[in-house]
Amino acid sequence: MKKFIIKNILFLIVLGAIISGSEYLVPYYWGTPHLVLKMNYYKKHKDEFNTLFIGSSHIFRDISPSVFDEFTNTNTHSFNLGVGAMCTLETYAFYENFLKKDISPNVKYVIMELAPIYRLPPKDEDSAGDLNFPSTTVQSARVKYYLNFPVFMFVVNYFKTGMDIYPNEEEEVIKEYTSAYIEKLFKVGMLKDMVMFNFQPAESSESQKEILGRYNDGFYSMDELTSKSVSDCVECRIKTAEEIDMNIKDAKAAYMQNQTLEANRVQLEMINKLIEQSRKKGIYLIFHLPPMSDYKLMLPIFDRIDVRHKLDLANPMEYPEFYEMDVHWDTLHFNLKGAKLFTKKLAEKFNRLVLKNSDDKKNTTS
Amino acid sequence: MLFNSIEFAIFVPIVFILYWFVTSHNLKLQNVLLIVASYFYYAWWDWRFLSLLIFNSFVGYTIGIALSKQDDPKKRKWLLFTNILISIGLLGYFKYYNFFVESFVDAFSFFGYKLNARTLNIILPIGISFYTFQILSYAIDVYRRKFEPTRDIISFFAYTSFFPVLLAGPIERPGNLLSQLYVKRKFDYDKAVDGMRQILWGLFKKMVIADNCARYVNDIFNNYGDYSGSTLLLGAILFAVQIYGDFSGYSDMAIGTARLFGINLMRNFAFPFFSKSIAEFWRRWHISLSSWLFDYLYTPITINRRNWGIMSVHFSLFVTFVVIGLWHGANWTFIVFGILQGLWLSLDVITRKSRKRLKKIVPAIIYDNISMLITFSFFSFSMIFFKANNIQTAIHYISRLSSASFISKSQILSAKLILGILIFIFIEWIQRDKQHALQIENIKVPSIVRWGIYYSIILVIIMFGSTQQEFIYFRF
Repeated sequence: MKKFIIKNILFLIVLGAIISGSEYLVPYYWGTPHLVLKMNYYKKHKDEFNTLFIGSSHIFRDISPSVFDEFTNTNTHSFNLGVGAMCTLETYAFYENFLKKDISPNVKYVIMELAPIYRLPPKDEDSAGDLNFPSTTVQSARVKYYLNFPVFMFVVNYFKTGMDIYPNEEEEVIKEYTSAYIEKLFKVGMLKDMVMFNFQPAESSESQKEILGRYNDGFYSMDELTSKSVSDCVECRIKTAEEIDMNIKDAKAAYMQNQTLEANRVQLEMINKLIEQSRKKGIYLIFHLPPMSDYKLMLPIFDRIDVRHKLDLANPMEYPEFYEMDVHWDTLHFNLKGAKLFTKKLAEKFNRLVLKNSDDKKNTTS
Repeated sequence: MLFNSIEFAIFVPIVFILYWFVTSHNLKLQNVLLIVASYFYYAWWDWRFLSLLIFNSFVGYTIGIALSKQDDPKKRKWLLFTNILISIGLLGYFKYYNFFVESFVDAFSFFGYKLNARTLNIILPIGISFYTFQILSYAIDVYRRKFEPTRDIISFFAYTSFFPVLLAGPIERPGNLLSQLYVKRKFDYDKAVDGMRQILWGLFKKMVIADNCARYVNDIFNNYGDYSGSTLLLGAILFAVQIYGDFSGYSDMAIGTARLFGINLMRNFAFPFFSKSIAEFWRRWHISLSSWLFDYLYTPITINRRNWGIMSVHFSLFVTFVVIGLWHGANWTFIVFGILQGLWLSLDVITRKSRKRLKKIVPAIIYDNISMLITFSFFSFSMIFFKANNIQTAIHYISRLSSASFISKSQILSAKLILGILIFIFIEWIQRDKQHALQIENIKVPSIVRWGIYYSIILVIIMFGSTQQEFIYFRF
């Protein structure tokens, strides 16, 4: 009996080690299928691009590289690596791996979305439609791809700072992430996708167009994706208008520094670390605060980021045009008209930032 | 909790530890633990019908006691009849009430009469088809004086509720399972290890073979109007493989689990796809059910009607297989499935002599392979009725299958799946003389190689397995 139990325990330990270590035996997996597709395209054409956009659908659907390149003064050739529902943790983990893999020979600029870190979505949620794998038994499948130990410790420390983001629920949130981390450790619901992605047939050209965009620059606006928009439905219009108004109110209050939270120092440290890591690779990392953000949470952090590494296009007092109904596909996303407008303004602001930075450098060296 | 679930993976070790470390010194306590664990297991599914299981068990136990005190043949018959009436009555109510009402109404409307009979919203208690037969086999064996009636209520209730077999068999006999519950079990290392192997193989069959076939089968059968004949043929074949993987996989897990507790269950599947005749097939497929009906239905009818000569055999076969069909579910498709089996078996009886002569002429390798192919083909064909929602659908499916598009490339062809199935069949072929395909204790390989095989199978299950499909036989 003892022999039976000991052998079983040993068997399970070895099995756990094999499964846990399996990720080192397969090529690195970039995570969600859309990101894999974009990264595969980028890697094939990496010599062409010197500017990248990274973040969620605020990037994917709202920033047009072709428009950006048209209005910048620095001869950018950009690619949009934004992916729907890409949360902040995923963005940071993705970017760190991106830097480690050394696949950015010509990249000079990276513009990254600044966003809060939220709790995990419910276990049955597929997270923004058809972007993800079926959920596993315990936690949302997507989170496990990037939840390695450093990222796990980062998120634990982030919530331990006692932010008001989830009052009295920090322990619950940490438990959720811990559970997801254990699942990631033993590749629960992950192993097949990790190994098989290398053998997947290529996406159809139609599917590729929806991810890589019309011009293979990674941008595909919401109204190109679907024929419906907020303007098609009266209730949607009213709801969106109300939400935008609310957002403007929040933004104004936040910008006037009346109603903000403290800056989360853990996130701030991570941002500074990414800036430094980028600098060592010769990349100029810029964080941008998109419109319709969670201003209360993000402004305190945004304010504390080095002025050379941030772009603010979220202030409704400075950019009221981004809060007009006719540029919105829904509350959170621009339509094609809005994306073009936004990107143009982003490019203009980018130009001023880069110019100022280069002037400051000249002044410093002289 | 499904056998291939995390809950079950936690449940079994807990019961295992309590069984061997806490209760092993006391047989009664050990059996009580089995009862508690089994009722917990059943209640996890649906606690509402736990009382039905307990009631059925109580009826079986009480009738057994009454039979032990009764020598009058007529009264003994009445006691048995009472047990059958209650058990089959309950089974009939929960499983067949709506079917019979609807069939009754349809039959009358066929003749132009409209009846206003009401169907009821009846939920089928899980496992009822299995434990009812298990309890009945006790009553019948006691009636026939093949088995001594028991006064050990704890052992009896452990017999009727033993969790590995409770929901989907094998349908055990008192001579096997109950007898083992009378005696103290000793932990046998080799038996336990082989039980683990059998569980692993069962998991592989269910999660990799059956569940991957299911994705294609469901698509083909749900959209058969859109597919070519060759695709529909593929669908029928894949369904046969699916149901084998599903049910035999479950049986392997049940038998393997029981062996961890020192209990040997009866074999339920003996590599049926290698059968060279339909008669042989039914000696290898769902053995616990076919042998149950053979012992308690076929044989008594044959003996009772022996003055009919060979017709008694055909009649018994027909009745037995109609019951087999009906046992599977309350639908005419299952009855047709059963009738087809019965007819094919009758044909088997009629052609036995001529096939024997043919076997002497044709080289064995050709004869055997063609026989296996014919048997498998027939079974796959009959499974169309098993899978279809109604007779009309089955007939439409068959007519589309036999259309001109039969000779065309299948519209759905997964090379990975076909390769996987072929490898699976090859492994089962090599191990066809064993109790299960992973019985390798007699093969002299180093432990590291054995563990390598286990890990490989586990990784295949993780990589290619699916947890999305329920066990088909849970519906019965």
